[in-house]
Amino acid sequence: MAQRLYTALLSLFLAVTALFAQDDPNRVRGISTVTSYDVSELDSVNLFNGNLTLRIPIGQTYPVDGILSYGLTLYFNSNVWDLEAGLEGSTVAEPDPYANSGVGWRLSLGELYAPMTAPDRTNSSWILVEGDGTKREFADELHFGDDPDVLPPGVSEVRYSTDGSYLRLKVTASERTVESPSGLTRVFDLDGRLVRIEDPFGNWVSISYQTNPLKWTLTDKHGRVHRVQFEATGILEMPWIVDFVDLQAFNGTRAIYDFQYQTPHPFISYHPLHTDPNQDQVIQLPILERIALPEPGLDYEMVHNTTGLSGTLASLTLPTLGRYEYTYRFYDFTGGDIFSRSEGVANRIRIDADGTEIGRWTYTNGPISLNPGTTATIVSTFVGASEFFDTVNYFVADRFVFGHGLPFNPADPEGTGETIRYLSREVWPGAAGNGTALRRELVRYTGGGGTRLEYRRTEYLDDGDTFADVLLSNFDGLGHYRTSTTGGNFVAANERVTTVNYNPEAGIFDYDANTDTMVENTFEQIDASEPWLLETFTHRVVTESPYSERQDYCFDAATGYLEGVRTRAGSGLSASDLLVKHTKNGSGNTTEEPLLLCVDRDDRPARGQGLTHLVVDDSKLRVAVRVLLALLGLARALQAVVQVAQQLRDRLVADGMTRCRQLSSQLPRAFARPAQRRRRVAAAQRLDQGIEPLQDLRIDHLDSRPTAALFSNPTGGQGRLIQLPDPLP
Amino acid sequence: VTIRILLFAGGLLVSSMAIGQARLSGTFAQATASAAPTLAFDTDTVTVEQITPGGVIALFGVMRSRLRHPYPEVLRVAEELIDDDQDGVVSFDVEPHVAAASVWAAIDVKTGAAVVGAPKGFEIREIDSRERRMPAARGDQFEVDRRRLALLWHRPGEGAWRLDLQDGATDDAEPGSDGKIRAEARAFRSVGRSAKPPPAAFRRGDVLFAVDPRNLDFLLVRFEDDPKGGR
Repeated sequence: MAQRLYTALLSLFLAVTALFAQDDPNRVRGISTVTSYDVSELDSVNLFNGNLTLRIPIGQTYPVDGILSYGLTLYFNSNVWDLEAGLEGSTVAEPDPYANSGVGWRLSLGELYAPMTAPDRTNSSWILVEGDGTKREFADELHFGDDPDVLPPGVSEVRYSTDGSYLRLKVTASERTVESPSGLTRVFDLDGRLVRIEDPFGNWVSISYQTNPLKWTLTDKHGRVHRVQFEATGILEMPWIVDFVDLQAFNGTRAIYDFQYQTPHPFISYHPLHTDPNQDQVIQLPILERIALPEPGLDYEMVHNTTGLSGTLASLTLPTLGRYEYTYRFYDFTGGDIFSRSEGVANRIRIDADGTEIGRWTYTNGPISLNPGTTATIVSTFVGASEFFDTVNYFVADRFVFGHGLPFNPADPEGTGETIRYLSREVWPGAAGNGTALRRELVRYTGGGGTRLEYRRTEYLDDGDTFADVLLSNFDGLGHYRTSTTGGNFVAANERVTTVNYNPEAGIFDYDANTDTMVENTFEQIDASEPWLLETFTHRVVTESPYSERQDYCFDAATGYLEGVRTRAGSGLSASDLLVKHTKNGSGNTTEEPLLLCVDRDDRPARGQGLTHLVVDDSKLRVAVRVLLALLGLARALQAVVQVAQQLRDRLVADGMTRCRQLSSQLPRAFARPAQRRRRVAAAQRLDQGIEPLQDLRIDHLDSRPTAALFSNPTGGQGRLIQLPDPLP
Repeated sequence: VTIRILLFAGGLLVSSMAIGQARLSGTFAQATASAAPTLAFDTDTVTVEQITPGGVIALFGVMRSRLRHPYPEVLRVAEELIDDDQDGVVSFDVEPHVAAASVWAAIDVKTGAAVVGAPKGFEIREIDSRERRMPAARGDQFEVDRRRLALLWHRPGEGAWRLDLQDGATDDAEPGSDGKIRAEARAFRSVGRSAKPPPAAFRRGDVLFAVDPRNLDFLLVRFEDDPKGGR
């Protein structure tokens, strides 16, 4: 059982970054914002405010071509109420205005709101609301002090997201376009509805809207058509709710996901902080209680609380008959106002199909005696009936200081200089404070507001006080640290330096929030008329003395397509270098990936292969999924190519040198972005981006796991075995 | 009963949309456009111009702000302003500031001329005409399909009264939480110095301004017929 539990837990520590955006960290929804989360297959718990985010794929992922794929995902956020200060000193609760599938549930392609047009009308800037409820706010500039953009013809505004997602927004008279770092674009109409998704290769999905009854129709370039049908409720706060989703299925058939609600729509109590004594204390709202899947007899069943912390999800039964159960409590913060409380998860329980409890997690939030004066969330992970271990997660819990919600204790830093660090997390073998901790994790953030992770150190207290750390540097201003330096005391001289030369023409943006100084700023913004492709780089060097490996990369400047990788045999260009050249068709699909081995005259194996193990450990750097896969693929290919090369060498040698020269001669041009940028030093600074892109947006906004895969993955094997028909196309 | 959308001055919106649904009948008279005041805003002040010199203005505004808190804060202003220097202009200093998200109405107490406006950049939106109605055979109630409303009721030459209403609250004449609120004449409270109790019922010539504090949608209506019938 313990093994299953550990496997299921996947307690990921997602330190992601943001400035204070539209949502206060105390009550933020979604999973793409500042703070850390306890993540499992279907759900995640915000360890700062306790919000539960749950994710149910509706149908499969539909690959289009190139980098574009799409799907629908239903999200639940347990923070189902918006709170505000009403008239006469009252506190007013309103249901989450972005929910559209019953209280707390949202099936959305994302919406874009112009200033002052979001439902509560207090957004002073453009806001993108993602499918999971995450709000991304757009600012005039990426960094405070950037030169104003030169607007392309027809573009009235250019804006940048400020939460580390590195989105660029362009506004024209007829549409608004949100560009992702991968090159994917989302086009919104004047009403803020998503009408088209397109990748750099011209692959597309379009969405049209019908009103009364409300209906969405999705069409892709392959002619697949999907529909989301809504039904009217007559309820002011949620006038339309999803009735069913009708998806293109295999062999011309359809897959219907039927959303079923309590009937009649029930009256539930308001949030407990809804204080007006003269107000009726109940409100009528739709409650989702079942989603029937296309496969007969399979469904998700939901039970919600309708009193107390009303609207929150009490249980979710999976198609496998496995079940999640949740209880809730208030998470308290300083401030003494209506945002100083958040309803969050108290207990999270996983139950097997036969009713056996297979996992339990309890969440305790607030000041802790372990470190007086600090705020932390203790996650007690139970293994069996009584055995458990505690994880103490520390936070900056003061709304009036920078870094509010970030996962570390701002008091009592350790170390000095560039290794100064703050306690972020401890793992205890039992109850926190009893005995000796097993692990400690310490971090340092920097950037504007201190919101970008710069240093992380893990101490293994049960292993002779050993530690490992990583220092990140050479920030490109576009979401990437170019250099990571690992160290520690496990073995002598175990330092490894990895440099990925992202966006070399962007320069360096090095602001030290801890000393409030701009160390170096040669950052150059990408011209608004140029493609917004941030995931490209010229080379990658890994050095672990005395060894070093270098790979040169060639991306298409217009699309970001990885055209070639050259792994050097030595420090300079050599006839022994290994080349991998990708060829794509017009849709951006790779059609050919030949391996070209340049062999020198003494016929030695490529020297680089001895360092191939260095290629894969890139988790500390922000690498797009596509690129990371390329790296992983390269690592495997390098091992294979030696064998292949021995067989094919005669044929390859004939033009091997020629091809090497061709590629190398392309490097200066092909690796470079068009040189049309300004150079200047910003007069002032603000940094509002982070180390990681939160989620790859190609996955984030529409992606889902396929129905078939759902049962083998999201349920984690929890519950019964079920027989599924063929997967959808 | 006849209800007429007034003419909105200040270049913000001009509308003469008729409301004929939901038990409302009768004719629509032209609003008093000839002497409509104008509204101007800066960071801290609302200024009403082109009023009757020496006259009195009922100023009513509802604001949504995040300036002081990370959460929205709803603020309401209901004031009677006197043009004591007789220059046709009155100003009001707003504490703590004029929120960018705010909707304001100024009504000339003498003439009943009214204007609705908002700071630059904030688009004002009307409550759909299908969401409001007069209950049958009642002259003292006005019903709107909203959960919350802040209302100002003005009777030319007599005064102004306000009311904050929430669905199901004790002042809601339509009991229960049903997505409708019903304003009853006797529940209104006086604005300004007069402290005059509200009239027992609405009547011809009265002006009603209402704002949904949740999203600042508004309505501005004038009773052109006697709500109890007759003219």
